Amino acid sequence: MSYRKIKIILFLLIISSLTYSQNYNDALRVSVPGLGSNARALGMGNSYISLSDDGSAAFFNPAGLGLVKKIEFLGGIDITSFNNSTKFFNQTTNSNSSQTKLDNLSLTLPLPTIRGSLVFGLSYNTVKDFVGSNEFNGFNNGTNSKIQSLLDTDIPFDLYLTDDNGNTIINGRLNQSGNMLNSGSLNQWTLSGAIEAYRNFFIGANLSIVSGNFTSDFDYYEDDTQNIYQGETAPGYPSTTDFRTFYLKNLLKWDIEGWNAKVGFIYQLEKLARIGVTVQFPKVYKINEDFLVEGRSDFANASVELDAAKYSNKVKYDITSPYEISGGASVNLKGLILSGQLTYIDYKAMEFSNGEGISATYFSDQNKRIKNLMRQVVNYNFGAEYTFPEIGFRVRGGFMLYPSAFKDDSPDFDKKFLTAGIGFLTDGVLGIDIAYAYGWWKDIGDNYDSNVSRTFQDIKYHKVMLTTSYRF
Amino acid sequence: MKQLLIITAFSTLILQGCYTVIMTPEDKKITHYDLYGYYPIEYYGDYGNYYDMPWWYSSPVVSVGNNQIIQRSSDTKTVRNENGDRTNTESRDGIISTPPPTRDIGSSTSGSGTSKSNGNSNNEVRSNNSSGNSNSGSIRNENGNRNSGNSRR
Repeated sequence: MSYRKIKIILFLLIISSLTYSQNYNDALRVSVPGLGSNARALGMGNSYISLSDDGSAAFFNPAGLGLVKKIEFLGGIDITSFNNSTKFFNQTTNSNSSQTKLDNLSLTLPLPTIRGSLVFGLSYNTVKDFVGSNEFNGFNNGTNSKIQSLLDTDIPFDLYLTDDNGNTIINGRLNQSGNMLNSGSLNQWTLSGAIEAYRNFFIGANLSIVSGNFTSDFDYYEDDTQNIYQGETAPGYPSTTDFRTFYLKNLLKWDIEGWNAKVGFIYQLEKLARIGVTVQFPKVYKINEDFLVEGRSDFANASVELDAAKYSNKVKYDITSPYEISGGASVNLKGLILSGQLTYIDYKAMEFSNGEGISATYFSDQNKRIKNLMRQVVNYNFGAEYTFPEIGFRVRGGFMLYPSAFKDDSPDFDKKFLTAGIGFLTDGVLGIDIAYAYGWWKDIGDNYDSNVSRTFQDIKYHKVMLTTSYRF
Repeated sequence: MKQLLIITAFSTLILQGCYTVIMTPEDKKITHYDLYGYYPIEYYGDYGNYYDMPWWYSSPVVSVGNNQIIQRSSDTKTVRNENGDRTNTESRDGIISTPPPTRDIGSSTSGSGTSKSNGNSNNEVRSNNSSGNSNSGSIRNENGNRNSGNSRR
């Protein structure tokens, strides 16, 4: 191979790795657990791996299927609302997005037994949603801007914001605004089986095929609201006089495939208590990514648009999530069920691999960054349920705590959820459960560089879930 | 694949000497079934049957404490019934939009821009492929997500 060819290949590798770089935010998106898809469980703060005695066992603990004694159809929908109050240079902007989705369908089939239990189930579950939004608007008085941060790309040059040598007169002091809307969900088809291996000891396993999608639509603006840049941004081009606005749109679209497996155990201490343990093996997500870019610069008498094809492209890669190891217990005190569980997740173990159109060394560096920035966490779930036996009415409450995956985050960044729910059992055949979850946490985001154009986000999350079950 | 092997090996070990015994057509009459009773009748009433009573029992059940004796009907019931965004994109009114400067595709010889002024300032031409800046840096993560740089904050 000639020296010239080697140079060309190296150049292409560098370009491909720089233009379409993924980072830990992408790995976290699919690795942080969602809220599942069962209203009874959600009402109890998803503290459900020691119960799991319905079709949602496929999501929580497959061993719980062994506790199901009737043929069961389960189905449900949920409504999610995401509210973000974003503070940006002392200005607060509110945004909201929502999503309604069929989140659960399952069939559970217990085989007749003389002793013990053998149960199979097929289910479709929404594992998590990607609903999110962010809007901000404020004047950045610093001598920095996204235009300057992009000087290592051709974008400012292509938009006539630099001279012919790639230098710009733009030096911050711009009004910066933007809006981001995220949508999509992660879903899986699961085949589960459970058996009572010893008296009161249940073992279950499942295999899931994952499908999902994610879209992030981000519009970003920098406006010269103080009329600072009256001259030509590209000297020699009079139409670039009086710079007004820089606009950049990033549209990220994922088509997600994958598979994963889980094993679980439940031991029942007669009428009193149940103990559950699950091991969720690392989930492998195959990401088909479509990244689209649009841009524009506006001047007093002209505007220039970016060649979208130059900066848009498609790549493929894998993300592997960490192990999730959970243990929990529930006790039944005269009709009052109290339940708690812990889940250990080592976010350092998230990993990028098998990139097509992305260099292996780039992913190696990103995997190192994940190990440097992330930490091990323990998630907590607590819940309670009381049944009024005369009318088949049940009330529930719960709490969830999902600590931030980032090493140095304060507890403000932990996701906290308070949950409540009610349920009805009619004639021992039809069950209707409704749950509401309220979540709150803080987050930050950088429009470019680090801590020079940062949004401080105060997030409120609402989810209403309805699940119906029919047993016969 | 490793995970599948673990699950398969694990399942094989578990199923040997298993506690569970499947009912066969020869098992015509079962006089005793050991219910788990996590939802006992004294606290859940008849609603406890929603969880604890197997579907292959069709006769009324007499529950007595922990050890319930169940008389199984000889005819098994087999009838089955089956029941069962909105976006808020910010608009940008008021942006002046005039025809962009045209790009001289054929111009590739100079590192400097060339102007073909014809009295219309919008018809400026700029060479695109020789700007003195050959980098195509990353904008993929310039999306408002967390960006650590060298230090995350």
